[in-house]
Amino acid sequence: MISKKVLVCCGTGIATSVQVANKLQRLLKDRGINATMKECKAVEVPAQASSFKPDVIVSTTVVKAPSADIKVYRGVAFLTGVGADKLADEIAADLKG
Amino acid sequence: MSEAPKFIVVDADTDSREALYQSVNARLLAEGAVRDTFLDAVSAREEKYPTGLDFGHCQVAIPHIDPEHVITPGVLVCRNAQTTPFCAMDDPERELAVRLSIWPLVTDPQNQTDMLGSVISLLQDEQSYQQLLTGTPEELQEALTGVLDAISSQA
Repeated sequence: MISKKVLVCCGTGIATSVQVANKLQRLLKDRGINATMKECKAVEVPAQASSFKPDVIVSTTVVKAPSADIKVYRGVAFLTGVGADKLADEIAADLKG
Repeated sequence: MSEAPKFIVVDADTDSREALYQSVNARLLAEGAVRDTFLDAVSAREEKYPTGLDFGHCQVAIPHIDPEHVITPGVLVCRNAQTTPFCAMDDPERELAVRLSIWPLVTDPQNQTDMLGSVISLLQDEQSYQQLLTGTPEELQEALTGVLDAISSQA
């Protein structure tokens, strides 16, 4: 198990991001990654990027990458289930890389 | 003490999102479920943070707003005879063709997550989606038991 940090954001930082974070945390665990998740609002991303220092950001809404070295993924797949495993593979590979 | 959540079904026949907001708002106001700030709040939020989701077998919107605009907890299910364009949550440039929209009315923010989880697992199942679209109000209420429980449960 390796440990990584994932910032998950949505419009209001309440229900949607928590839903995505729970789902993704399980999928990453299956892929050998012990992920610490943090949820926030889209507008809080720049501040959270500097304080939480995530390895990746997963967002259900459109956000700008706060810096060039943190990749932002679209996380709606973790709500709809469509393509969720494939996206989790991609994120896991990125985190291990 | 928690009040039993309201369950409301609206069958609409409109091709515009604005008209859909208005029929839903009129019904919720008549039920005393929301404040008069609801219409503006929900349309503004949908423009800024759209809620259209593409489940592959169906495209659904889940418009939701902050508890401050809600008086009584509940769920409104809106079935439209026509499709209305809703923007995709992760891509505002992409329009989804939505017939079924689910409007959670949450008064306790703690319940938001469980509510959304229940709505989403229901919609991932194609049969449940079809049932929501075509079932009787009684069948819908039964299908949404988990959602209604999540909304009424105390934190």
